[in-house]
Amino acid sequence: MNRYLLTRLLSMIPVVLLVTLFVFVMGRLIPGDPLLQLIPPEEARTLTADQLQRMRQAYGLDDPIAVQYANWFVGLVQGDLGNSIRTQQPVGHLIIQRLPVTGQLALLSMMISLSIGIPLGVLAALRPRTTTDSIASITALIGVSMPNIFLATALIFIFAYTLRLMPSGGFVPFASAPLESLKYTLMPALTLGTGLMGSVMRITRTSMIEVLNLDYIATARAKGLGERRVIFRHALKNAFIPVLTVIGLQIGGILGGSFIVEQIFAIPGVGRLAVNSIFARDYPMVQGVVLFIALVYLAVNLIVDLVYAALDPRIRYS
Amino acid sequence: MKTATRFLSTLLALTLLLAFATTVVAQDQPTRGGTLVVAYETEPHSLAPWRSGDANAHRVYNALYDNLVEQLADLSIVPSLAHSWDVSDDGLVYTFYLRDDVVFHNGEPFNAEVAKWNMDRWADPADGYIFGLSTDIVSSEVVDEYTFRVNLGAPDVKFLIDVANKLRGVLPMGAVEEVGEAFSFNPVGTGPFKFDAWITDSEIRLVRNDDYWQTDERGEALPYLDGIVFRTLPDASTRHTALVTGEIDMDTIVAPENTADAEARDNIAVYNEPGVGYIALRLRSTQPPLDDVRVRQAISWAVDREAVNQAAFFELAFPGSTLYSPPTPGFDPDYEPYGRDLEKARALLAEAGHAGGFTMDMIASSPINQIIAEVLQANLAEVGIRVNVQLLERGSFLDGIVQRQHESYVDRITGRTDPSDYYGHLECDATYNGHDYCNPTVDQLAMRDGRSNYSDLQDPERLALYRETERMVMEDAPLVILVHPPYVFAWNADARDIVVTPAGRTFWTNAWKN
Repeated sequence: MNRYLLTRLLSMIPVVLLVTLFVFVMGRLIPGDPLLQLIPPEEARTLTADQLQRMRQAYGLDDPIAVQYANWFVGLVQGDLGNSIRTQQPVGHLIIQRLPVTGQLALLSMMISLSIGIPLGVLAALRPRTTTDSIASITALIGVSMPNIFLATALIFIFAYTLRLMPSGGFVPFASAPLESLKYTLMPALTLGTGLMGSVMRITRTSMIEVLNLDYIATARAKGLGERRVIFRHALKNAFIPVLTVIGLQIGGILGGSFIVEQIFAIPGVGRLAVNSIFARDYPMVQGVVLFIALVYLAVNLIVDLVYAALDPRIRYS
Repeated sequence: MKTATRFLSTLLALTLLLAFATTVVAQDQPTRGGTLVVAYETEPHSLAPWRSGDANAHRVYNALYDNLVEQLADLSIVPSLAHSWDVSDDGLVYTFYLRDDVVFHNGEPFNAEVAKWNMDRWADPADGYIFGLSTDIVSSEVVDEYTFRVNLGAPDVKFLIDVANKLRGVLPMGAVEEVGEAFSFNPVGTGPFKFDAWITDSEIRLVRNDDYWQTDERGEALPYLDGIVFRTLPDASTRHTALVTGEIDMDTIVAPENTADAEARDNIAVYNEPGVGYIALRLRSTQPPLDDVRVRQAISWAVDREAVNQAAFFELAFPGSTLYSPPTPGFDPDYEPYGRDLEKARALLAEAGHAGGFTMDMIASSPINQIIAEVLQANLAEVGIRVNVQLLERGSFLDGIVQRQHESYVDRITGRTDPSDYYGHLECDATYNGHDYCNPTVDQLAMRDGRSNYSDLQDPERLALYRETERMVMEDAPLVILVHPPYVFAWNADARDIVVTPAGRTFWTNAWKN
């Protein structure tokens, strides 16, 4: 087991390096100059080639790309991700500052999607091809197909603009005012969670129907176990492995979705940081965020694989 | 000694500041306390004035930093940290007399040595300021603890305006030398508000400076507010909703589509005035057929400025074809170089050998500029010019301007208070000269300004020079001026005495909340 873990962890290193190298080169190949965005034509009364060159030197952008990557890599090994071009703040500090925000959003949307998706999936599986199943399946279909941007706008229009029950955007840290903080993250979490809810429901339903038709369930029922015990102890536990795979994949989806949702609701999370940095061509910042997201992906995949073993004793890693 | 010795007291400065404030006139006495929540579209890049010069940085700088002198909404220069100053008759020596009751937020004293250190940093291009002083500064010297002198190589009527620019907020020597670039997130000034926290992409929080040196006309301490929160809300409709519901007190950039709704509400005050700047169609004047001046003029005669105003600004902008905006000194209300005249446009095209029209690319990089480009596309079709409108992402758009790749493009400039500000992108070797325009006479006329010893910015001889230069550019037509957009701000009617200038700057020292 330990050996397996070590191999997995070591195999992450080349993946991460390739990702960062790819992003580094891509970032610089696409058109756009971070310095021009700092002094756009609207506001710069004059901008001479000389001024631009002095800035390029000040920001270390006049070195060849290979040298810039080497500098970045040396910093990385020393635990320094460099400074953001846009704000001059350390990249690591900015990501850590945003982490709890996106974390809270992801957790809340996960809770919303699982607490609705799983019961709905089980319910539909127990009564396949009935009205209950149809209602549940249509709910899931709507959840999966509804674009985030539409749902977000609709929620703002109904709950913020018309009913004035919710703030339209912004964020309050959980630590400073928990209830207020939940109020600010509820609509964005609902937006993100709806899609995930749909996928979770659908995979739970399919997986449950399959498991419920297996012989061991018939055996369990035959030996006189209560229906609740059969469903939750015997069926759901085994049906859960594909659900877990979907959840693992969807954490990536939530991170991706946060790029859009955080922008609409003006939430200062990792997604907003990434989007703003990409538009500003803030190379060190984009590099840092991508590295971070790659690590989260890899970590979630690893955790999902480990949890398989806990759920299904037949799965063993050595 | 020339006239310029000024002993205007701070009190007078404040009275003037209030007099020119185009805000809701406060009937009642200001009350103390409360936090003003101000929303803008994008946050400043940096709070270190040597790194950033964007409009939203200025909003925060106005709360954090004071300048040696300030420029009021009517463009006059009044005392601030310098209570008075002298200018020698030849315009080459400026002597500043400084206040002796000012300390920085971190307790550092303000004196001539600090002022000289700031002046030297502004003047030395190697010293970090992206936008240093353009004035030719030979040297500066400390005369006594609260007096210092600056020696210029050539007279420059714009020197004091530049010193009043918020990028010249006076910084503490000790803190800057100690923390360097980290000053951006630990800023220290002498201004009415002190830095509290910056959560990037979310908000910047400032708190009241209890030791602020300015007082109101009754001699009571300023500022009145306990603090200001600058909140980043990129989406226009989110900002509008937040203002309507009272989540924020002020929206610093009201979208044209929300302006009528804001104006209709009793609890919201709206500032809607012509701004300084323009939106223009820029033409790359070195590429056929646009290298023919008649073709460029034909385009300027063919566009419908009223239609642009209607489609993109709900008729809130000032449609006009002049380079200078109405509030700019030098603006001539009787001068209208172009209007809509399709016959004239067709005749010019025919003369240039393009009676059958031609095809041209037009680039835009924002939704509003795309709307404008589509209006122009329809206008120009009427004289046979077929336009391909392309929407480009901002980074690529700016690259294309610098590399002079766009055949034509729609863009905007803002915050130009002085006529000289209008030539930055028109000089032959300017980075943002996407029109690839080069008229050495224009360059020379614009530059002559710096070498002349005018009494002030509104010197009739100076303004006449700029009118002449404007006519020359409009005749060459490297750009088609379409509209001068307004600055629209809206705030909670309970928030009083916020000062907004025609350049779109905002001042907070006297603001209070009911």
